[in-house]
Amino acid sequence: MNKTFLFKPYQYPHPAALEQWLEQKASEGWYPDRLTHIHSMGMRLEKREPMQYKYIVDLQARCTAEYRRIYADLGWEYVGRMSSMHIWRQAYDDVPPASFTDMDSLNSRNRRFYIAISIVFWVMMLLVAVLAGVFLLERFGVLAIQDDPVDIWVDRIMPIVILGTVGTFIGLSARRVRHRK
Amino acid sequence: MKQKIGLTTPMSETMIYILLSLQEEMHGYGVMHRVKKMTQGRIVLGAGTIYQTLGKLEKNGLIQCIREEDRRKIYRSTPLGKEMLEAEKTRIHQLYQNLEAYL
Repeated sequence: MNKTFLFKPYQYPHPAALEQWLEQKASEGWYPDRLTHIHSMGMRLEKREPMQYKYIVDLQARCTAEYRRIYADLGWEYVGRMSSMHIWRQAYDDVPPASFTDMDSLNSRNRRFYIAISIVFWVMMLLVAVLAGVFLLERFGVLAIQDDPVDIWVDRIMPIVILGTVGTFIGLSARRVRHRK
Repeated sequence: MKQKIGLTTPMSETMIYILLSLQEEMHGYGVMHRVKKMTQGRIVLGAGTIYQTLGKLEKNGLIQCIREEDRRKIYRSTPLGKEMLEAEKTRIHQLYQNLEAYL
């Protein structure tokens, strides 16, 4: 049995809140397995025996062999990554294990998270501003678009969306290949 | 000197203990055990803290990776790292003396 939760990583403004949600789901017997980039839009959880798990949400632009080795050496299981967001977990009985054990590293993790969220937010705002600008210029006759609204979407907006999606995919793939070397 | 190499002053306890451990060649997991032993279990470093602190120390030239074994980087302190530890020792010694004198 499984359940899919839509846009979960975007619903929490703080990484600790996403960790708590995952831990609560584990206590109810729901677990994410093999997270990949696409799961930021729909996170599928599988039903198993409920257990106590500590989850860690970490942000690292580069997932180096050293990074994964240090976490693995200290008993963490790699659940997967969604963009630069890496998810780790570890089962425990009494005391939950910690990954960020001093304020410097915890604040640094949180700062990286806010920067990533801010970039996504401002890119979205820029996109909205461009679309609103085009609409207003056309509305007040500064920009004369004679085409049918459907044609505008097909001829102008969709190519930008498709090129953007393909470019992002190629960029992510190229980065993954480079980091494997 | 600390301002010049981009570290905040004073160095954090975590950073001092990791740098102190790396007076010998060691990987991240070894550092965790060494610090736990030195502090008699008071400080147990987490994976995220070790990875970030090693990265910061390496970026600032206080430690260097000397080789890799089984996908683990082996680090050791540089002369600059030892110099920084000496400076911290002086600072903490003065702090201790003042606590003894005025508390």
